[in-house]
This record gives sequence, structure tokens and C-alpha cells, in this order.
Amino acid sequence: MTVTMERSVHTSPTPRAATVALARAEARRLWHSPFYWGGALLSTALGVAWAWTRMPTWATFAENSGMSSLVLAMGLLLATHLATGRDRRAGAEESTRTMPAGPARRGLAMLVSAPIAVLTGAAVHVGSLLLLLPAWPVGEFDPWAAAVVLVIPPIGAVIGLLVGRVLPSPAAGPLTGVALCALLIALLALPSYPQNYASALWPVPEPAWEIGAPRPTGWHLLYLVGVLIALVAAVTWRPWPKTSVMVLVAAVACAGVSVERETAESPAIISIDLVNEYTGPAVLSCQTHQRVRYCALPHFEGWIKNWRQAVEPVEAHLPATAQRPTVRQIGSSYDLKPMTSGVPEVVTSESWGRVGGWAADSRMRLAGDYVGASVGLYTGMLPDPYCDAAGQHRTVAGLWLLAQGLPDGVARVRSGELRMPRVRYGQAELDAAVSLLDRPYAEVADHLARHWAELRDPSSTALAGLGVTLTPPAIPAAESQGEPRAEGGVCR
Amino acid sequence: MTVRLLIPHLLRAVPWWPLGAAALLAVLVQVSALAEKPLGWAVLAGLWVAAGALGAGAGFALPDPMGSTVITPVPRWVRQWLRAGLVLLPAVLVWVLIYVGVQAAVAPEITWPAGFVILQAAVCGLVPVAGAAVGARCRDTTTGALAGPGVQGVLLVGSLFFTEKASPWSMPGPDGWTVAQQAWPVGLALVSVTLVLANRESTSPATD
Repeated sequence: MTVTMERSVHTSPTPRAATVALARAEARRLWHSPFYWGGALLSTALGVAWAWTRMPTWATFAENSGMSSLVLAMGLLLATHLATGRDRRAGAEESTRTMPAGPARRGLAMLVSAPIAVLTGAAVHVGSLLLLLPAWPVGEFDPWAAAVVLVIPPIGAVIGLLVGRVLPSPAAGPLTGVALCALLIALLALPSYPQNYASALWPVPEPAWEIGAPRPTGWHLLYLVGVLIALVAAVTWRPWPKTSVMVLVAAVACAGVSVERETAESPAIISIDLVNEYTGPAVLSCQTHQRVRYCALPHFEGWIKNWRQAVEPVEAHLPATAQRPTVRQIGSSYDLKPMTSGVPEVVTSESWGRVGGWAADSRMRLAGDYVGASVGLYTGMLPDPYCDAAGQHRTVAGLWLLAQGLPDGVARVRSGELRMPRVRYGQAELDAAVSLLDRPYAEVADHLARHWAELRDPSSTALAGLGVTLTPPAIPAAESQGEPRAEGGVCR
Repeated sequence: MTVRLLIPHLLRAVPWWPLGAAALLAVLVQVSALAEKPLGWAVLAGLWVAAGALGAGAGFALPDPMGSTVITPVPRWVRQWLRAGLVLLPAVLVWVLIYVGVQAAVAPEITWPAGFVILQAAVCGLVPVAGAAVGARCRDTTTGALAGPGVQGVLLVGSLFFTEKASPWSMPGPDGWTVAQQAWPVGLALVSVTLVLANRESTSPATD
């Protein structure tokens, strides 16, 4: 019998086309991986949760995103490890050996997980930003620090590929995760003196030593990119051994140099003059609203509206002739000197509540400090120990002002829930404040306006005309001469 | 008698390398205790990670590749508890040795409430074992045991949502245990019940 067979019209795919087809298939499988989605969702949720209570700054947002991207990297590691080990699990090796695309080509195709990881890192970053709306980060945007979230996830994915190629057992993936955790913990245990290599090797760049101070995030990103390229080169070692070895050596060298440069660029000695270069009075951006001067750190001007919401309700009840304290934002360090001698100052930090009770708490704290500074109780110096304000009439006036300016202030002062911040006093001052609240508003406001200058004196009895019978304490001479008030001392 | 006959066979059948690798990692993660000035939280994290790693490694011994063979002379619960016991005993031994060594290395500078840390370690270690037991009930292959580290990872990340006093990782203060800290004994009870239920006799074979 003679059989006539027609020549197949299908041509064999080129190696490149086969790799692309494999990569598409792997991308589809990764898209359905629970580890991939679990990592992405947990990473997003974690980044948002850490930023939920505080108004975001670009520095804190980049740090939170970077740390949460470690979770995404771990999810990708497990997903790509399982995908790579698939060839050799459950007796599949016998079948895969007969396929035209060998392990090297399948390894190349699996590298599709790296761009997917980059895109996912970007999506998680943007998604977290959108979920925090309407709050938008303030401060200086550092693109190198933000780009870390694009590099950490693919590093996890490629580590999974490499381990899956060598150790295909499902146990190897989680144990690799444990090994990486051990490595990260070990980095924290490394000594930070004389050279702090540990913080340079830590995947997420640490915050700047002061707000606005330059930090070598460019070198850090280069280090991470070097690690990623070195890992990718290890994956491509089988199909392109010579090129991969050269790339790997160059990438490791690049990463090493970057870590060295990053460590060298961190300042060894931090002086107050250096601090003032970034957060001192000279760099502050000041605006005046309703007679109150607000001075924000560079790029923090957007928060002035938050401070106004706290200050203006209490400022409205100050006498027209009263001097308005300045609201000044400080960094992590502060020289304790006022910007303008003789003008009281209230300091606020780089932290502010974002929503609900956290925002209300920030407003209440600033309003309390503002009232304290207005009546002369709060000097604005940090650290500022609690002093004894018992018997002083300005304590009573401050409580009255707080009651007028804060939501439910009258009821909260009456119940003792709302107190003057940073000072100690007793029931007698509270009772005196309640007695003022029992009087008509106009009567008390008019009395304060007429006796304001006298009221700010700690030894005055300015409220005697309103029936306040408190006896001011004797003011220690040393404190009157301008020495810092001691813990437990009388407020001067 | 049946149990005694079964032990040598299970000793050969159980994959030991995950537990061996986990034990090695558990020792390596204690490097923070050897620092000149060890950080308290890093030392404790080392003990927690050690327990979690040992539990994760032990969990891979639970899937029974022959589990689909329903007709066996030994009940499933006996085989599963034997598998669990064979790996948990050395795992616990390794952790206790690590604990004693770390405690000796960092004392008296760093101390902690021993009972609380041991409770935390027990939960960290048993969560992946219980997860793997559930996975092994559903699937005979080692892939089924991935449920253990999977659940462990989700719970670990979930705990990071709670910070400061709400964090279960903080140590008890003089005011007693917080709500988050009280979750540890509850977690231990839940994990134990899960392990008991997952190891019980199965009426239908697991799939592979």
C-alpha cells in the first residue's frame, strides 16, 4: 500500500517566537496566581493602612510604599518559584524533556514576570496614592526614592525564578522567604559605626536625617538596579553564558560602588547650623492670614490651611489688641530660638492627623498650644517640661478661650475633659473657668480686652473683676530672669 | 504495636530536608543576638522567625503521597499525628536549644517574659503546621503543604496592620496584657483545634 502524505504548510516557530509565546503563557498563569494577587492586595492595603492616620509626606509615603513592596516581592517570589518548579514537579520532567523549548528558553520566558512585577509595583504605588485621596503628599518629591517600589518587586520575582530552577520543591519557596527575612534581620544587627553599610544595604532607603536634607537615594536605586540586573544575568546564564557572566560581574560591581557611595555621602556629624540650613527660619515659607503668621517648611505650604482650621477658631476670641503668636513648623531638630524676639511662637511638626479623630486631635493640640502661647503660658521651647500653672489667672483665661474655640469646648471644659496643654493645675482653676463660662460672653471678652497685658503676667490678679479669687504663686527670681523653667517649677 | 511498626517507615518516607533547611535558617537568624549591642526587638524577632521557619519546614512532612489509597491498615489520624509528631519533636528541640542559647547570650541586658514569648513562638510554629495539615487533607502532594506558609504569611502581614499598643508583637507592660496580646492564647487554641480537625479520619480521599 502506498500512502501519499502532503507536506505540512506549518513552519516551525523561530526560537524568538517560541520564547514570546511561552512568555505570554507564563504571564497569563501569573495573572491567575493567588500568591501574586495576595501580595499585590496585601501590599496596597498595608501601604494605605500605615499612612491612614497621618497626612502623607512624600518621604513617609515612599518609606511606607517601599516597605509594603517587600510583601509584593514575597508574593511574586512564591508565584515565580512555583511556576519555575512546575517543569520538575509531579513527574513533569519526563514530559518537558521532550519539548522543543528547553529549560534555558523556559527560564528566559519566565523573565516576563520581571516587567509584570515592575508594572504591579507602579500600580500598587499609584493605587495607594489614590486610596489616600483627598490627602495628597506634601514635601519634596524624590523620584529616586519613589522608584524603589519599581525595583524591589522584580527582585523578588527573579529570586523566585533562580531558586525554582535549582530547588523546584514547593518547600524551597517559603524557606527562601524565611532566608530573606533572616538576611533583613541580620542587616539590622550589623554595627552602624564607623560606616553604616547596613542601612545602605536595606532595600528601602532610610528617611533623611532632617526634612529637606539631601539623601543619596539615587545611589540606593542604582544599588537595587545592580542587584536586579545581576539576578537577571544569573537567569540568562544558560542561554548566554559569556554575556551573562560579564553583565553579572558589572552589575555586582555597580551595586557595590553604589552602596559605598551612599554610605560615604551620609553626613557623619550633624550640627545645629547644618540643621538650620534645611529647617531654620531662613528657609521657611511664611504667610499671614487674619493677623496670624504661619511659617511652613519648604514644600509644606499646603498644610497651612490645616493649621488655620485649628488656630482661627480660638484666635477669633482673642482681644483685638492681643499679640498673635506665630505658628512655626520645625523639623526633627530645633535650636529653641524664636524667629523674632518678643513674638511668641507655637511650633508644629511634620506630623498632622489625616482624617476623623486623628485630624481633630492635631487641631486640638495646636489650638491648645496657641491659646497657651497667647496667654503667655507656652513658650514654644522644646523639650518643654510641664510647669505649675496653679493659681495663675491666665490659666483660667486660657481655659475660657479653649472653651470658646473648640467644638463642644464649653461642655468639655466644664467636665474637665478639655485641659490646658503642657501645664499642671487643679480643681480651683477649673472651677474659676466654669464661673467665667457662666457669665455672659460679652462681659468676659470685654474684661479680657481691657486687662490683656496685665493678664499675661503670672503674678497678676487680672480676673478679680470677674469674681476670680485665685491667689497667684510667688514667682521664683531665677525663673523670672529668663532661666529655663525646671520640671515641677512655677510657670513664669 | 502498629505505631511502633509504622515509625521506621515514616521516618524514611517523611521529607527531612525542609526541616533541616529550616533548622539551619533558624540558627542563622539569631545573628542579631551576637551583636555587640543587641537590639531587644531584633533578638525577639529572631526567636519568632525561628519558630515560624521550623513550623513551616515541619509542615511539609504532613502530605501523605499515598493518602489517596483509602484502604490502609492504619487510620489516617494515626498516620498524620505520627508524621506531625516525628517532625515537631526535633523542631521543638531545636527551638528550645536556640532559645536557651540566645537567652544566655543577651542576658542580663535584654530580658523578656518567658511565658509570653514561648506562647508567641508556639503559635508562630503551629500556624504553618495546622495550615499544612488542612492543605494535606485537600491535596496529597507537597504543594498542598504550601497552605501552611501561605496562611502564616497572610497572618504575619495582617499583624503588621496593628501598630504600637495594638500590635500583638509588643511585650506586656505592668498594666497587664492588651487585647492584641490576649489574642495569642486564643490563637493557640484555634490552631490546635484546626490541627485536630485536619488530622482526623477522612471519608473521601484527597486529590493530587
